Parts: sequence; C-alpha cells; structure tokens
Amino acid sequence: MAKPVVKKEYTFLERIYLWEIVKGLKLTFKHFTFNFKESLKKGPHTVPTCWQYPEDRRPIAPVFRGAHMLCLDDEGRELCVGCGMCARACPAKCITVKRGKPAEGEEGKYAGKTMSAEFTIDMLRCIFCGFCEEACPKGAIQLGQEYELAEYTMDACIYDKERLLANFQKAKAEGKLKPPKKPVPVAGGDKKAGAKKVAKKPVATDGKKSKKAASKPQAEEKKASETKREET
Amino acid sequence: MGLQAYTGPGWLLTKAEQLINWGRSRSPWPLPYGTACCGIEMMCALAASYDMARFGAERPSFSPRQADVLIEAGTITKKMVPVLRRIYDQMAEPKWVIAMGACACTGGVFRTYSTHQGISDVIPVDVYIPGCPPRPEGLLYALLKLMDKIQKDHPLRKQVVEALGG
Amino acid sequence: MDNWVIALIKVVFIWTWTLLIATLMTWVERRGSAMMQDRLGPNRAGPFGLFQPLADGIKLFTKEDIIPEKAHKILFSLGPILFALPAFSAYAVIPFGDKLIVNGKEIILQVADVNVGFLYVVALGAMAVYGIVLGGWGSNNKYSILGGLRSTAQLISYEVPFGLSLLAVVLVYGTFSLREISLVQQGTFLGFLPNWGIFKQPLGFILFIVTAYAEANRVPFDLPEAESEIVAGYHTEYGSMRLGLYLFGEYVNMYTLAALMVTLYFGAWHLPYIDMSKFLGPVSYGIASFLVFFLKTAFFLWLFVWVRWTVPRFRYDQVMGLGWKALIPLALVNLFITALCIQLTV
Repeated sequence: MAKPVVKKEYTFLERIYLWEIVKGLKLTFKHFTFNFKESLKKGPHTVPTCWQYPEDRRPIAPVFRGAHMLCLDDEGRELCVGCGMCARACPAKCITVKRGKPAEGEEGKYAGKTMSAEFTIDMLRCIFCGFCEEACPKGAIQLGQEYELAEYTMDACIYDKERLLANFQKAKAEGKLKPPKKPVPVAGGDKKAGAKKVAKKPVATDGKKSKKAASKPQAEEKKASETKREET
Repeated sequence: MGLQAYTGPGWLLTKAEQLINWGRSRSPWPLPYGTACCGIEMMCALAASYDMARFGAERPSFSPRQADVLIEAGTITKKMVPVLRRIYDQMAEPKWVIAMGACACTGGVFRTYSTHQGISDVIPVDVYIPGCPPRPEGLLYALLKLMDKIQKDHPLRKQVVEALGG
Repeated sequence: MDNWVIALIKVVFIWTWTLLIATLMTWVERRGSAMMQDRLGPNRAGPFGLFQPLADGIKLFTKEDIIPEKAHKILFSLGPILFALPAFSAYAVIPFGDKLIVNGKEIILQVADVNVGFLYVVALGAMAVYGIVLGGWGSNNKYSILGGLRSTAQLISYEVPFGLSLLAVVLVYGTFSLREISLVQQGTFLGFLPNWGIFKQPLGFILFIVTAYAEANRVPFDLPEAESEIVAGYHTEYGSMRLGLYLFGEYVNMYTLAALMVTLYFGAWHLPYIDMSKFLGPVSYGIASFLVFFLKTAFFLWLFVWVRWTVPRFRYDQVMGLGWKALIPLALVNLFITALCIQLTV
C-alpha cells in the first residue's frame, strides 16, 4: 500500500525564498569557517573529512584484498608447491602456474617437495576476489594491502614469481602481513550446528539413524576441538 | 652554420617546455567516462573524501573539447567501442587516457562475446590501473603517475626539429 | 602630464587589475567551494594553490584550437569575443575610488565619467547576450543551440527588472552618472543611518541583486552553465582559449556587477560615519578610497561564490516565472513607491 503523501502549503517566508537562502547561507558559512580553521592546522591530515593522498593515507582494514604475494613460512622457505589450485579457482583465469621439482642444491628453499617453476598473475585481468587465497592448500598466496598498482604499460602489470615474492618481503618489512586466519567452523562440527541438524531431521526417526546422527556430530566436534588445540 | 649551432635544445627551449609541462600537469581536467562500477570509485575520488581537485582536476567536464584526461572507468562493450573512439577523437590535443580497472584494461573477468577485451586497441592508453575496482587512492596514484609522465613530455621539441627540417 | 597619458595609464591599470581579480576569483571559487564542501581545493600548484589559475591559463593557451567542420567559422570565433569584451569595457565607467591629487593635478579614479553612467553598463550587458547566442548557434551542435537560446531568454527577460530597479535609482539621485551618485552617498540619512543607497531603496536592492545574479549567469540562474555540466550548453564545442574567454568573461561580468552594486547601494568608497578626506593626505586618501571600494566589492564577489554553493539551480520555467510574474511587478511597485516618496519629501 502506498503511503499517503501529505502536501503542506508553503508558508509566506518559504514562498519568497529569500529567507531560505539566508538559512542556507548560514549553514554553508558554518561549514566554511570550520574547514578553514581546520585547514590551517599542522600535519598532513588537516580537514577531518578529507584524506590528502599521498601524504595522508587512510588506515586500511587488515582483510583488504590488494596485490598478491607469495608467502614464506617462518623459516624462510617458500610455501608454494605449484599445485595450481589457485589457477583452477580463479574466475578470471589470470594465474598461470607450472609445477617443477626443486634443483639439486635448492631443496632448503622450499617447504614442500615440489615448487612452482613459473607463476605469473596478470594483474589487469585479476578481479581481486580472493578465491586463490581461499583455494590454496598451503596458505602460500595471499592478498596483501598494496593498492598503488598503476603502470604505464600492460606488460609491467604482469607479475612473475620474483615480483610476488618481493611483494611479500615488502609487506613483511612494513609490518603489513595478514593476521593468521581464524579456523573456519566445519559443518556439523559445532555443538550448536549438530543440535540443529538433529532437530531438522524429523523424518529419519529410526533408532539407528538418530544414533548415527548423534554420534557423527560428536566425532566431528572432537576433531574440531583437536584442530583448534593444534592451531592455538 | 646557424642550423648546426641549434640542433640541440637550448636553455630557452628547455625552460619553456618545463613551464608548459608544469602548467599542463597541474591542471588535468578529467573527462569522467564512467560506464560501470569503476565509475563509482571515480566519483568517490572526485568527491570530498579523496579530493581530486587538490591536483587541479577540479573541473570534470563532460564535453570532450574541454577535457585533457579521459578516465575510462568501466567495462566497454562492443557496442560502445565506436562511441569511445569518437569521443577520444573529439578531444583536443594534448590528451591522455587513464584506463581504470580490470575491464578497461583487458576486459577483466568478462571474457564474453559482448565485452571488448581492453581499450588499448581502440585508443592509446597512458596509464593502466589494475583493480576491481581500484581504490580511489589507486586512481589518485595513477593521476600522480600521469602528472609525472606529462612533466617529462617534450611539447616543443618535435615542432622545432620539424621546422629546422631535421 | 597630458590628460590622455593619464587616461592611458588608468586604462592599463584597470585592465590589468580586472584580469588579476578575475584570475584570483577562479582560485577563490575553487578553494571557497571546497571549504564549504568539507574538502580542500587545489593545494599542490603553489602555496595554498595560488598558482592554480596560472597553470590553468598555461594549459588553456597551449591546447589545440578546434573549430568543428560544419560550424559557422565567423560566428564561432565571434561568440567568445562578444562575450568577454563588453564585460571588460563595462568597467570603464565605474568609479573605483575618489580622486588622487598628484602634483597639484586632480585625477579621478575612474576611467571615463560619462553622464550616462550605468546606462552604458546595461547596454554592454545586452551585448553579452550576442556573445552567447552567436556562440551557441555557430557551434552547429544541438546542445549548444538549446543552451544558447535558453540563456538568451533568461538574460533578456531579466534585463527588464534590472533596468526598472535602476530607474528607481535615477529617480532618487536624479542623475545617471556613477561618480555623482557615489559623491552624494556621504554623511547620514535620517540622522543615524549612513547615507547609502540601500537605505533609500531596500526593495530596489533586493531586485537588483537577484537580477544581477541572473545577468551574470550565476547560480541559482545558471541554466547556460548548468547545461554544461549535465548536457553541455553553449560552450560545448569550445576548447582552449575560447573557452577561457567565456569563463573569464563570466568572472569579469561578476566583478562589474559587484562593483555596480557597491557603487549604487553601498556608498562606493565611503566608510559609514567617518569622512576619510579630513584626516588623510591627498594621495593616501585616493589609495584609501580605492581600498575601501575594493573591500566592499570583494565582499559581494564572495557573496556570489557563497550563494553559488548554497542554492540549487532553478528550473527553466521557474526562472521565467520569477522574472516575468514576480520581479517585474515588484520593480514597478518599487518605482511607484519611490516616486511617491520623492514627491512627498520634495
């Protein structure tokens, strides 16, 4: 049902409009004097509402999806094993991965048994969705916080493995690495989720089935708590 | 003998070029060619939070004759290609193009029959910005890079060399 | 020195001064509007962005000059010139200060003290309409024609109340000459108010300021410009310095109208109750009167910018309705009341 509109008659002051203009002028004057005083302050961030890039940068959320980086683990070994899951998961098909075996003396550089011989990301195709980050089984590729990515040529925007590793080093040096991920709750592993599942199955009221349904969540809950203990 | 003495750029020419480049780089009036989502981020960059007017881009004009920089923000479909070319041709020299976002640079995630895969074969692009959409600060960074590029330009030299028959 | 040398110096000075003020106004507009919108305007081009107009000027001068193929070349070129020149020339009759006594010679701070004063200004304002309509027509572009015609309609319909409110001023002062009107505005009126025009003509002032905004194509009457932002009005096809002439001409128009407002209604160079000539020497009095006039004009220029960023623009039918149905009757009423008052007091 449409809401009935009540049309008010304009008062005399509103009709001559000049008083309304004066009221508007008072408001803009207030804004003007406030911002003028603020703009005379020291420091890059003067006016509160304006972020004066490039000196004054807005704080970015830690989960911001910026440019990619190939991560190293705590001992400095590359985590990427060259499985190509990220390339499979990418909606824009911008990642190209070629798996290879590490050379004779270089096995200490890599955390896994295989490595990626070639790893290129075409940044101009990438939509920064983060699917590669979610798909990676080793947590090797992560989306960092770098957003200043403009270049003069298209070739300069194709990042190869060195560039991605360098991104990681830069982020580490600036302290902008991503915080460790919180464990994603497994379906049916949580007490609450388990209870919901049992309650939702009114049809299968066999003794066996309900027992199974009851035992399954308990087993998964045990597993989930074990993994939780491992990670913390 | 007179011609040989002037084959290199002299002091006056260099200084005049620097002045012209300074003037052009400090006042890039954009033509906001926002077709899709990147247009929103471009509007955000033009608005109060990340003010693009600080760099002199105060007057976004929708008339191509008055604009310097064509900020192409958004997906270009095949239907739009002749329109884009026409608008680019109507702009007055000197003109620059910023391709903002994945769709403008390469067609992005839309590898379809209707999307034109990147505008670099329609108009010459000066700065590419990856992102989907790029942050407004990303666009400002690209504008700064464009300003650097304009400062290194040689607006007078080509004509002088041509005039000397060199 | 001969009279013509002095006149030449005055002309050069006023031309340079007007150009300087117009460029400064672009800066004031951008910074002021930015402060009102919770952001900062240009601040990279120099300290506080003061070189921004210079950068704009350099850029506009070095841009390619395009004349569309099917455009009417003569009209296209004539448009900006006919818009900008009258704006500059109108400043010739405005007294920008009292006299300066140098070497025993009295130099009035006005380029030409003609006895038709502001009628000259009104006539030149009518010439500016030609600039717009020729520019719009000569561009051979449907948006330009529409923008130009709408602007023409607005300008000529607001010239009627403009002229009528000025007629009331003539009734009060009995002369067209701007210098004589400014000279009369010293002392007090009714014992306690300064003898300024606004106290004698309050309704006339309101009419004048509203029609001045319409004549200058400024918000809330900026239909021709508004089209530029939305569709693209009469300066669609103009680039480089032709556009510069249009934009500049607009600011100079604004300056002329603000100066006219000050001269007619705010006691050109007189301070409210103080008579400066009593305690200042001849040369410093001239300079002081110039400064006072300039400060008052600066306030009205700021008012132009202030109102622009406060009020949304009117719709076309609202503009026409206001002009013909509200302002002209008011102007006639104003004329009637003024005539009545003069008849009763004389």
